[in-house]
Amino acid sequence: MQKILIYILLFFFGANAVAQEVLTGRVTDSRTDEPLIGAALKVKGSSVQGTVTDVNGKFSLPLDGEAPYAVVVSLVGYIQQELEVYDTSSEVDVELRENSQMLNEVVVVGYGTAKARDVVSSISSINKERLEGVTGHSVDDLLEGHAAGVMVSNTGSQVGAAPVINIRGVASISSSVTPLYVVDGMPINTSDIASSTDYNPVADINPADIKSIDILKDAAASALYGSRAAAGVVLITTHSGSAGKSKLTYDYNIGLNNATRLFKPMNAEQYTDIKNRGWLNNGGDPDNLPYATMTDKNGNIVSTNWVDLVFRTGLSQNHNLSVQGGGDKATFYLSGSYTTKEGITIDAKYDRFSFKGNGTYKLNKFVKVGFNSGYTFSRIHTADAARDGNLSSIGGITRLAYVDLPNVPAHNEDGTFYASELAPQNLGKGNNAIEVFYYNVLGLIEGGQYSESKTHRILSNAYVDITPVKGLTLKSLYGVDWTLVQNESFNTPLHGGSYSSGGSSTAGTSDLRIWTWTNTADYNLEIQKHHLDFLVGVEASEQKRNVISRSGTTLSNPDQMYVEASYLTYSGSGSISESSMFSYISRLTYDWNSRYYLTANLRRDGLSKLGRKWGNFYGISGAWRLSDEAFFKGIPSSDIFDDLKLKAGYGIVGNANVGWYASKSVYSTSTYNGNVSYISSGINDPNLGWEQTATTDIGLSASLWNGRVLFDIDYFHSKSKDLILDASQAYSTGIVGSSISTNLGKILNKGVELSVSGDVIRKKKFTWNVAFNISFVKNKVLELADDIIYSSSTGANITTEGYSLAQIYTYPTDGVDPETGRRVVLVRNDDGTYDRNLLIYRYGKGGAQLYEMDGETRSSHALSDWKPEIAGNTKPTYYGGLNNTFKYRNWDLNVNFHFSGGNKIVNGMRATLSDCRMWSGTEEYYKHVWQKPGDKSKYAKPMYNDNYSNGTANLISDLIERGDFIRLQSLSLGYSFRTKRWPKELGISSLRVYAQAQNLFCITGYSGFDPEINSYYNSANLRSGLDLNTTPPTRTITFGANVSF
Amino acid sequence: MTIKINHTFLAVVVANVFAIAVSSCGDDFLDKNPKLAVTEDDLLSTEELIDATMAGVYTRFKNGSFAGGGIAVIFDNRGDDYANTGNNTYAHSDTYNMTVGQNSPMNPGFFQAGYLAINAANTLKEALESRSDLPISEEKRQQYIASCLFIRDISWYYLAQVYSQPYVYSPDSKAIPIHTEAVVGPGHNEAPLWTIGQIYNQIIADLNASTIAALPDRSSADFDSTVPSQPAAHMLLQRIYMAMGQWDDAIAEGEKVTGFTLSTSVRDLFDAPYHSGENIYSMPFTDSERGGGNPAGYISSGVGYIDTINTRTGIVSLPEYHLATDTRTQFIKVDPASGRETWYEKYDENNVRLEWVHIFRYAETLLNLAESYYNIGQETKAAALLYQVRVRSIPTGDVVDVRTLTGDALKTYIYNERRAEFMGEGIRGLDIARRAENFVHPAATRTDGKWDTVIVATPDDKASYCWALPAFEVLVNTSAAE
Repeated sequence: MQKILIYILLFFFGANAVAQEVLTGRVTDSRTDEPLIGAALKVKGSSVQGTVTDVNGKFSLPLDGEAPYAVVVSLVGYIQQELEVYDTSSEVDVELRENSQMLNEVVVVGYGTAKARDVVSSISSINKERLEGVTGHSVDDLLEGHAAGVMVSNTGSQVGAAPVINIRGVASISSSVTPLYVVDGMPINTSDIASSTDYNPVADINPADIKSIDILKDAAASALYGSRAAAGVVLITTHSGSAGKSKLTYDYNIGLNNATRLFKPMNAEQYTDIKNRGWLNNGGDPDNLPYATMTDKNGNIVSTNWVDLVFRTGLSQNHNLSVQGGGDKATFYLSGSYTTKEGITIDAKYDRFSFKGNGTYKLNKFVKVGFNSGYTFSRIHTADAARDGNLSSIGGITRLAYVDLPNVPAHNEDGTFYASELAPQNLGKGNNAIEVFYYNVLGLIEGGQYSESKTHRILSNAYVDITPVKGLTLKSLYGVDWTLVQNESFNTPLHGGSYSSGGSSTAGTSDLRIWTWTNTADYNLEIQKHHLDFLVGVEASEQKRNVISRSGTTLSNPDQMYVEASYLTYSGSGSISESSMFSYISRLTYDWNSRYYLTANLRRDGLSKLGRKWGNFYGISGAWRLSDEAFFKGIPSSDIFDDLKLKAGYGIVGNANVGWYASKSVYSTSTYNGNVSYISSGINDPNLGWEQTATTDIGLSASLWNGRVLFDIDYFHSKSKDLILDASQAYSTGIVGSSISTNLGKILNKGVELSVSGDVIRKKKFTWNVAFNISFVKNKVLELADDIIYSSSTGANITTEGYSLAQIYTYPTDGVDPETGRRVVLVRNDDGTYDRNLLIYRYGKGGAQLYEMDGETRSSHALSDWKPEIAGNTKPTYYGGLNNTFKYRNWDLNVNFHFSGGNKIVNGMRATLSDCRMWSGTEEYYKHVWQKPGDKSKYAKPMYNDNYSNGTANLISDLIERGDFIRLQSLSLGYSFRTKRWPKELGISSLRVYAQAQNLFCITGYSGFDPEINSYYNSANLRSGLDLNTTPPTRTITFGANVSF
Repeated sequence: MTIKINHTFLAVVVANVFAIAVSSCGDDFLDKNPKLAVTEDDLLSTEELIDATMAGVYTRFKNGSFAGGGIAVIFDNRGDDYANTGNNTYAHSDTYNMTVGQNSPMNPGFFQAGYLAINAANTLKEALESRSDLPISEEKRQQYIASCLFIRDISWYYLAQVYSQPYVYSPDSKAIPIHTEAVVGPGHNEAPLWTIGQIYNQIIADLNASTIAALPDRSSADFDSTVPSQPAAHMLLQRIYMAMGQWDDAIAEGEKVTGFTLSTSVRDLFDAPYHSGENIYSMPFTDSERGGGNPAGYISSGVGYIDTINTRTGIVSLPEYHLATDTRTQFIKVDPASGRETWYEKYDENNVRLEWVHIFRYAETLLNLAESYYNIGQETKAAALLYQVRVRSIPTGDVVDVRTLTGDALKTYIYNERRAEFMGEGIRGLDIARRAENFVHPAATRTDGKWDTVIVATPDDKASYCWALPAFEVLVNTSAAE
């Protein structure tokens, strides 16, 4: 807690001369400089009555006793201060700091609020101070590392991609575990409905508009959201203005974005050398080498660094303007913002315009109305056609930057891009003998290839609160979440996949409209020390989604390279999806003297998507404030606790993120010989029911030494059952999609969350606050439909009973044999032992074959005897954050670390960049490849066209690395000017300049771009720990200023 | 206190009023059905929907990974008349190199597509068999049941060709998992491998006389070569009897294929309208399939630049099959960059790729008969059949009169004519395996000015001669592990 910020000038030690002195001064909010009304001042240990501040924050306090006087200044919601007063001759300015530790703050708990002190379930709140001056890109950025039990993993992909968020582990297998986001009382869409690019629906909320974020983690807290709460609930409250002086705030910042890490690609000579070595090792003719460098007109060897050409430093800018204020009857908040951010690859860009208008109006003593309205337009533009990673995609820009040949130029002498003469859709082959089947990455971009999503989002609600009698509040809230995404993508006729068809484009719209109507009645009763609150309500909501897409092929006029242009042929498709939900809500809370608590929630949900539509969800929790008990006060040293609370809860919640028609087996149209045909779209379970998660939570929270240290520990045990699973069906069954979804799975997530925060240093001019949280989570699959989830779409991940989700499933290997330079593969025998064999690839001579360790004798094992096996856990087992806030005079510094680990990653990118086919790779490969007997090397002896030895054909266990890391997630340094001393005419009430950095560095043993990369972030439950040519994360450094009038 | 209790009562009343107001729409509110699809129950409700469901079975069979181009590409790459230079496993380089493993990218697509067709056929067959109150004629019901049998049989046949060693190598070779009944729910993952002999016998049993009789005949007024027919069923049986070495049966089936004529030129079959009196069974591509057209064209054309002609040891390297007067040599395309003959473009409509894929055409009937008659010693008849096919493409200027050939020379000419006639149509790979021959590729060396060949797979080495069953299949269907 911050010590006093006052200056009491001590001129003389003559205080005794005065019999009774009066201290006068003013109490203000340290942050806003607004006067604080009603702050209590009292001399410690004195019998004299204290005083309170008036409307201007002024006070006059008679002093009693001898100097120095110990004056205590306190106000609810602010940190209590003690002043040592030696002299009363001048007025004192007392600045109180808001109590960011929240004990007295209000916490949003779902269909209402509660005092933090009275919260008996597991809720993490991102406090106001963290949100102050925040100019981040998206809400999810704010959650990272700040709340115990909340794992936010930035997957490091292209612009617009959403991070993976897991609250207390992964409680589902096939359904999304993105938490439910509730903005100003209205649940919003979080699914990516854009089709051309990634789109993060949560990024449509301007972080600057957010007043508070509360995260409901256990069932006791979230059961009121019933069927949608299994993955946790994030409650976001936006500003709605407050009574008092109107305030205008403007914030601007400008920043630079670049890749956190890139690899150095091979240069022309290295590339030519290594590829020819492979040719010779395969017995190729030395007089007929297939690879050769070329020279430019000046006689220099052409060596193209495609990585330099593709990656760049982008610019980002943010403008935020808001006005808020109000009086007794009405309050308002208006804001507008513009964010623009260039991606780290050329031609990638994100723009967002957002507008917000919130207000409240008190009609009379009984009725209050309010509205929260918002409109956001965002545009995501990228030239990257392959959005998530893929081991061998030919469209991904990151991949092309590494595989395009360095010994050919990017451009011809005349400035046009360099393409194959034979097949102009591909990169030219230069002096190499082999045609290239990759595209010239610059050819694609310069040819005009792009994908774009333009999103219009209206997120609004209006409500009326009626208080007919004291204690009873009736509330009706109607909200809409309308999203219209315009999807566009254009493939150039000049190069790449649409060269042969003369250009192609896809355009269309995805439209999602949700309405929710909630009606609640809340009755509050206090009888002596009994406090009772009873809430009942009903909620209805409906979602409608329409998708229309039109594709055109072959531009009528090849010069008119637009999506909207005329094409020779067109095709189109569309879909209509609808769902509805109806719910009954109730909650009872009771406490006796804030010492014994009991809360019960019950919700009954009906959902159209399911076969068994109705489900009951509930939560019950209790708490005991030990610190209020007489016996506790008797314990020695118990006075170090200001607060100590024991809590326990149990509940059942569900997951409604299932397919629109998940319980219906349908046939959809296709064609045969120009006629309509009907084909099965898959088989579904007509009795599909709710996924249910039962959670037990036991916790202890304490506040010590006058709130100097806050401590929270929680144990949770959550068992999810009836999980909707795509039960694998053998290909030979002929069931579409090779799966049937049924309620069959069981998963256990358990763990411990610990958070500790406190002031390490509390000096007058210098404070250092540390907040640390760590969570240990253990995830285990207890039961699956058919013991296993593994398909061509899960690739190198397998999910099976007894392990955590998405285990790595790779082919066992044991490095490179130093004598022969061949990859050592492990072939498992029936008795569980392994035979060591060498994998030797010979082009044109049978491809990959297994040999004995002498490298000469054919192994008795066939290549197909070498089988993949489980090789590691991909879900972090621990994660957390360490947040440091320093304040020195007018400077503030925030250093926020985020860490995670216990998981493994398959560095698949390394495999494909050490492949021996015609494409290029990294310099790291060139330097670590086997050359002569005795070499201890990472990569096998190069063999012409070998796609096996370094793991492309089958991902090998040698590619597995540890995923532990600690990252400097954000760093910000600010300086607040002493605007109080500035002339009033300027009207400036505060001015802060700041510098921020995101992703400044990451300490990790992982050798890929970044340990948080997950190439399959869109299906992260069952596919994780795979790093396959995904764009690296972005480092951002921004400078800005925030001014209020 | 009393006042407060009254307030509680009021709260409950008000909440209930809200509840009733909102829930008045009741369960109707939660009843949402897909608007753009048909549920299983509705499928058999009208003749139009039954027709469309039958067509859906054909759609599955025509999948680009399967009969709609995939088969042609696979069985040309399992051969020696093309050389796959693409070096790309997504374009069948491993099919060509005889190294298709359980994770090769094209392997699961082919396998799955086959079984989707099989189960679609089995599902409709059982639905039609179990209901007699359908809004279609009994004749149509029987025709559709027979068509379903045909689709599953021909799918089994093609799958068995890559996953099993040849029947003539061993009838007991383990082939593929078989479901003779429809799979409509979970619990049917275990399906043991049938031998190639068991599969052929099942097909012969399925396509018995009464089944075939239910199919449309060539003589019917509205004969349609895009759907299963009597001659198509006879062709399938002819191939199977040939694979089993039962030449008399093969001849009997072939002789039942009547009413067809060779078109004037082979090219007629690959230019619009893609059908003539020669088509027995073909996969149609129409405007409505643009974008998802026949993939075979891409692979073997200058656009795909993947399958190039094997000019060293392939069929076109033999002068008798590279005659200027042979209209089939018009399919050979010269690479302008190298000046060399590089591609064989039966499928040359690269932009839209709507050329039909022919499964059975009359030229095959004739050449199958030629080979069968040769094998029972009726050489004159064999030579006459061979001549019919050859003279169509080489009306003048032929360097050999095949009618005069006998013995091994005749055999060689029959075998080679098949290669020349069906290049690009995927017959070569089927023939090699049917006869349990070795797969050979051109070598880098020459003897007496001629390129040597190297053996890349022999029938006794299943690992190279056959594809491995896809990893997922073996994992889920543990009975399929050998």
